[in-house]
Amino acid sequence: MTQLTWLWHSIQIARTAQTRSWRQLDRSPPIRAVIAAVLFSLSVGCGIGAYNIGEVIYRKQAVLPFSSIQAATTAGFLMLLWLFARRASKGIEHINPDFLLTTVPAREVALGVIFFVYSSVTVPLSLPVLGVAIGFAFGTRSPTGALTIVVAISCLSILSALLGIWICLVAELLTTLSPRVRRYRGLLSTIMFVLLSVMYFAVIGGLVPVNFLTKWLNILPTAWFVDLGLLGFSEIRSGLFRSLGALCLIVSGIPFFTVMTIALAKRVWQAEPVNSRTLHRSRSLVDEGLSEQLFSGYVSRATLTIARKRWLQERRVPRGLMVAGYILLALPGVFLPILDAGEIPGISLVFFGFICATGSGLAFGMELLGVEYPVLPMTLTTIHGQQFIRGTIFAGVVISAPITTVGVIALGLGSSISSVEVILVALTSVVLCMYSVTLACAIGMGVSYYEFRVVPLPFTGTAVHAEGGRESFIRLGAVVILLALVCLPIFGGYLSVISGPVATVLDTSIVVVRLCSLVLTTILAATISVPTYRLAVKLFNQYSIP
Amino acid sequence: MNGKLSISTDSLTKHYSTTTAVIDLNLAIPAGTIYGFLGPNGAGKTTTIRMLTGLTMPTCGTAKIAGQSISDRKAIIPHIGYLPESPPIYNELTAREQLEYHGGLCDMSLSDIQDRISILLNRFGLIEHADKRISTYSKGMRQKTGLIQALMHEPEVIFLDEPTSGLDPRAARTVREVLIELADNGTTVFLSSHILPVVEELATVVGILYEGSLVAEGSPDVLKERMISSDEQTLEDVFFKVTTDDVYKENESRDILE
Repeated sequence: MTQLTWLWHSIQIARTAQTRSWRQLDRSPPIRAVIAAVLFSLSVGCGIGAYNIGEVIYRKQAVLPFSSIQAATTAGFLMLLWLFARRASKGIEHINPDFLLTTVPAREVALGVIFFVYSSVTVPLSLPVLGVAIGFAFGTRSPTGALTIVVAISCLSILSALLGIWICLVAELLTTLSPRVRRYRGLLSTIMFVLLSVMYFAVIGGLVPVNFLTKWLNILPTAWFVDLGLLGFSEIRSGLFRSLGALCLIVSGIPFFTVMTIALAKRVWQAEPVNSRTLHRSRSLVDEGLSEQLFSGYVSRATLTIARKRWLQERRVPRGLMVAGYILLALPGVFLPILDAGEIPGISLVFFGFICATGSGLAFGMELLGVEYPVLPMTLTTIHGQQFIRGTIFAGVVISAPITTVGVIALGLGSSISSVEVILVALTSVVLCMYSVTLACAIGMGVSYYEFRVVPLPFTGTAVHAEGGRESFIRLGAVVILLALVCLPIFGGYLSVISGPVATVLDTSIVVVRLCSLVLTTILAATISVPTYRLAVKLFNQYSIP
Repeated sequence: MNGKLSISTDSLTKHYSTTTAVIDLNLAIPAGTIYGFLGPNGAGKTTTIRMLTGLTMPTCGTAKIAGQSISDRKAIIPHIGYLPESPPIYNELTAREQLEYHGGLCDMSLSDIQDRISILLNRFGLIEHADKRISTYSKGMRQKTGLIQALMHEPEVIFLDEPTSGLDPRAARTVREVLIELADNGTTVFLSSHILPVVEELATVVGILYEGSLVAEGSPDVLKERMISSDEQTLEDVFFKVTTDDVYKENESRDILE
């Protein structure tokens, strides 16, 4: 036994975890070869690009955008931090500490986790980084620069890894010790996701000046690593003190965070979970609650129970909300016309209705089998398709209809279109919501039992059953496209470039064209919903478990 | 036990591409029977149960559950309860919510749901944990929840795949008592298990499946009497005897000759 046995154990733990991880990816040798070829080509491409930039700077044809690189470095550090924190959460579960802790000391397991998490993120990135460093160094005729770039990037990534793993462990510890934190963890993550999306749109929409953001990103100590990386270049002047600051951060930060992370990992693995009984309670799915009072005369108990269960699940694990989060990417379609016109145009109302409809379809319809997967043998042998599909559609429409109506009317209050038209847009949007959930149900029912696998739900720390691979995105795209096709009349009606000529040809006003487009879309959505619903019911009734 | 058949199959067969999971299965199980369904791993027991519950369609052959064809799942679901090997329950719900969910789906009245949940939770010693999330349950508690779910709507036919798996001795005894009561009241229990003493104690009829074929069927006592060697007395001995290749081939050639 040498003195470095503990290090060897940690490396072995990381290597085994890495090998298992690769095997779990289930990639065939040709796909691995393609990935390696793409990575190699990317690295060569990055190297050539960096070489050209370096040469331009060497010939003094351009100046290195120092401030932008510093801002990008800080942004990259934050992204790495998030990536490491997420990977650490999965990595700890993957490495199975319960077994290892009975075999080797906790310190070795913790170090193994650090090595595994660090290598799993950085190994694929190392080749392009090397390409950039070597290319840029040769372009500027400063070979030593390659070394300083590699050192700076490596140290920054080690710091971000340690900090990311530490943050993940803090979250683990808090959720172990406090049932309250555990309860709100998923919700907080969802709120953070929404806030970050809003911030993103605020920046691209011009509400937050880019200069203001860049200034703040440059102040952070992570920006010092740019100076350190460029220290080896004689042609580029970098701040010596800032480079020294970066070195101080490395010398003090890496040992400090390593010790802290190991200590915290031991604490997490030894922590006694606090009993959560006081915070858990049953919420009845059949008693005389509000939904029972409102709907019991109109829908069957089985249908209502399906809907109530779905709402309860969503409250505890906001899976539908996360899927519907994709629609945030479409929000510029609502506010960009407002910024452009200086008022709220009709198209913003219509697009908002479309977004709500898409969201409700994705949230409630797309994942109907994934949500039901753990109990599918029971569901299939307890109810028939009509009840299940009706319950799912009902769950979606009851949530999305009020949100859509309120949203459209709120936007309509600030627009110049008449109140009758606003109400009609709201009604059409509600019908679209119903159509969207029905459509998503029919498409979601097409997923084979074999296709489901356990996947982590982003930001929530929970795992759910979902269809893997690109097929899930194809289905998602199909819902959006088929919904958009039905919405073509209203999009046409509310885009003046289309409605104007149509009004001229028909010798009528644009308002009439818009109203006709609303009626046409409503009829289309309602009509197509019927066979779509029947298809979904049929697929449920024929669904088999091999 | 009465003469009305709860489960009947006629040449039920299931192929998966080149593999045959179940072949020419013929069953005639009267109401009130506890049918012990035995077989080694991969014999086709789960496939048979899935066909009988309408979850998988047979390649050929037919079957009826409580007089309803298994090809019409809608028709058979009011008559059946099913506990698969892995209990179909949600981690994010509590046991009470899970059982209310099932009761609601079965269209039971509110009072019936609450009464049955209360009785069964008490009987299986789960009442204290009924309002805790299932994610915090042990394997045995999950199994109890799944079992209560399969029984709570009082179906005519119950399919149980390893119902005593993971249960402590007290809970296992409760399960045995409950199953005997159910059968006495006319419920048919289709019990698939590897725990042979449990089957031997409970089952009125035992069927042994081997490589997709039913190689032996009868009451445990009759099956034991059939054994040639006098020292082979238990159902376990019968199981080992009939689930070997030699005996299987011998039986097969005898069937062909007959």
